[in-house]
Amino acid sequence: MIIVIDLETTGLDPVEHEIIEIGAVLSGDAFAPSILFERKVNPEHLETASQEAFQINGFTPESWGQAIPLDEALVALDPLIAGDITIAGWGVAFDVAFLKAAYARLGLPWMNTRRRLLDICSAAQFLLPGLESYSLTSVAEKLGVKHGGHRALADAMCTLEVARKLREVARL
Amino acid sequence: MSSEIDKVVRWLKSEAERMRVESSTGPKGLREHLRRDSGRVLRVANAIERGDWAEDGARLRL
Repeated sequence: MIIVIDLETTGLDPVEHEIIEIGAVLSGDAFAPSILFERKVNPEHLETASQEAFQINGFTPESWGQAIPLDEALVALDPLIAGDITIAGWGVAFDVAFLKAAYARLGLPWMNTRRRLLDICSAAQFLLPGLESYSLTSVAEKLGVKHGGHRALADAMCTLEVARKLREVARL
Repeated sequence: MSSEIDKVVRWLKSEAERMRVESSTGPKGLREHLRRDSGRVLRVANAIERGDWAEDGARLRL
């Protein structure tokens, strides 16, 4: 099983900034989305947030009215990443750094000896050398994959589809 | 339930069972953690089977 995760955050620093949205898509070997997971998370320290981040992810206090506390969101996500699983993402180190910091802050155990990481952006650089940009939007466009906007679940869905197309490129 | 979702349920159940076994046989420092994870993973599998979440074609929204 593979789970593609994408986070929206209040900035780039996992120590200073916070997760404000979690999107994830769980899939089997076919790389077809089976389980969709989406939670908006209430930021607790808006004073540390980067306005640039909010311009990217579209956060406004009004649009996050249905958001839940981070611990609730992580408790819901955790069973999906607790087992023998590959966590994938676009620049997955960023998302995992935020998840690990959040788990540590909330006193949740991150340890899982069977968890693997797969960075689809690195795979794109390896399989599609020479592109001008390796942003998710650029690579998706190159592969003819529709990108439904810069939100966590849309990015995760797009990343999974890009991964499926990359597998075709590699003829795996 | 679609066959893809059914595969996910079977995978979650097999992982829960593996963790349950390893909570007795695995490294001592991880046993309690594995026991808790096993229960939580099984609860998600059972909830999916019960239809607690909205099915959207072949996908499920948790």
